[in-house]
Amino acid sequence: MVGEEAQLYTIEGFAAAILIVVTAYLILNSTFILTPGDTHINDLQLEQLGNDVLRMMDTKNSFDSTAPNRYLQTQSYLEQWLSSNDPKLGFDPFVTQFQGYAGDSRLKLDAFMYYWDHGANRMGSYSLSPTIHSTSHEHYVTITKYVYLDNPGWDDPLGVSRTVLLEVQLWRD
Amino acid sequence: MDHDSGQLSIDLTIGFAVFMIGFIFVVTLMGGLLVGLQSKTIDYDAVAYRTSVILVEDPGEPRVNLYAVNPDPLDLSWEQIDDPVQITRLGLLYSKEHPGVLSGEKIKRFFTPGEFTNEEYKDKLLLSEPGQYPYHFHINLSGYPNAGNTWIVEDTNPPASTGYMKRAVLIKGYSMPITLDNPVEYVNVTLPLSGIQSDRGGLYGIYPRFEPIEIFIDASRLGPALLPIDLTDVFLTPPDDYSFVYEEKVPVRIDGASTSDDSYTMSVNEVNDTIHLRFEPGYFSGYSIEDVVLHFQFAPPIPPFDDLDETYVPPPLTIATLEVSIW
Repeated sequence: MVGEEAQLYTIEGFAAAILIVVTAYLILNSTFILTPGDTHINDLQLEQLGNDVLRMMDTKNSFDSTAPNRYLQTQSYLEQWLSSNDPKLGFDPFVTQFQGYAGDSRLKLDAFMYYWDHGANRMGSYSLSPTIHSTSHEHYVTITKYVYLDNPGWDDPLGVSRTVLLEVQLWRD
Repeated sequence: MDHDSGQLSIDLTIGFAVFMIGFIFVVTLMGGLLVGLQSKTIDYDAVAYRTSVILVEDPGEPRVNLYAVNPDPLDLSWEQIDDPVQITRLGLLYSKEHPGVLSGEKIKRFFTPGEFTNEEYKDKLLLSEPGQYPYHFHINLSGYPNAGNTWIVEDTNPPASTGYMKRAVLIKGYSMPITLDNPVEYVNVTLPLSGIQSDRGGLYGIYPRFEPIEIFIDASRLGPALLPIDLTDVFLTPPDDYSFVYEEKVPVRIDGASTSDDSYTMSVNEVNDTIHLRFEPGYFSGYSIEDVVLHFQFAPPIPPFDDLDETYVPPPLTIATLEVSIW
């Protein structure tokens, strides 16, 4: 009688202690590992570079004094590209120019354009990359830029100018 | 009963010992878990980022408002102030209305050796009191004024591992190249001081009060048969009357020769290579607002020849990369 009870208490004590230790370890571990701090700094680096490049692409390099109006005189590369009739054709030159501006030929991109579809009264999206890049997407960053477009050739009862959102997914290969 | 209480106390001892071992284990482990948070690299990357923001997104202090309706003629931007004590902050942005575009003049002042001491760079960039945060820095800008060029400012050589930030920027330059392909007697360059700011806006125009005007004439394409050519005079006139010559001396440098600011007197000069002309900011402040024409007069070549007429426009914005390392 006496011996049995003693055995049980000891085993219970061991089990409880191990349970407490394991629980405490798991809790502490999961809490602190959530804020490693180092990986998102690298992402910030790439994100900032991407934002810089999109801003550069939305600034025209030189004044075009032969153009008929102010918008066209200072029309940026992004404005020109996105208001063309088929922007998909301009995606590869866009990537080349992006890499040149960033000074890094290893950068890979995907791009989408979001716009307000007046006919359907909802947000529409448009993939600018002609082929789907399904690999190497694990560590990409997303950068966005609003671009003001004005194409007199557009047949739209609500006017020929609009603002679209360009979203670029950027990663290093 | 006696046996029971004896058994209990042994259980308690064992249980307490196991708990203590576990507790010590956890406490030991916690120290290891916190090691990641003590890393210094995060701190240096943040300082490098902050420094890059000051350089790329801030026009510095003192600064001028290019779009002021009634500008105070005594206002000066920091790159025009000689005494570093009066400069609070060294930002390279051209104007806050044009994010991402740096000023070529600010870059020239910032990166010219001897303009600032290392302590002054630290005080005016890292926003630290002298000696308080002994950061080291290495800043380089590549791609301006031409693709192969690199400007560097640093206090010592950087070690292998530093806080790092890379920014892509555009730079507004002031230098217009003119190439002489054929022999000429006159090169007439119209400087559109009246119209070019309002017509084009700040980014593509010129503000002669704050910005220099630079003209490079490259004569080397003429070939050895025609070189050297004799530059006999350089002078300024109004656009409607070329015979009315303004008295001012014109700041000319020939074939890369260095000159002090008051030695602009012209005489006959043999040109083998280039003519470099630079009007400092404020040079035209006495001219009210009207266009002037700059004339380069050469010894008359053998006919036939045509005069070359040009209008000054600032060059296209240049793509460059700014890198900041802090440790």
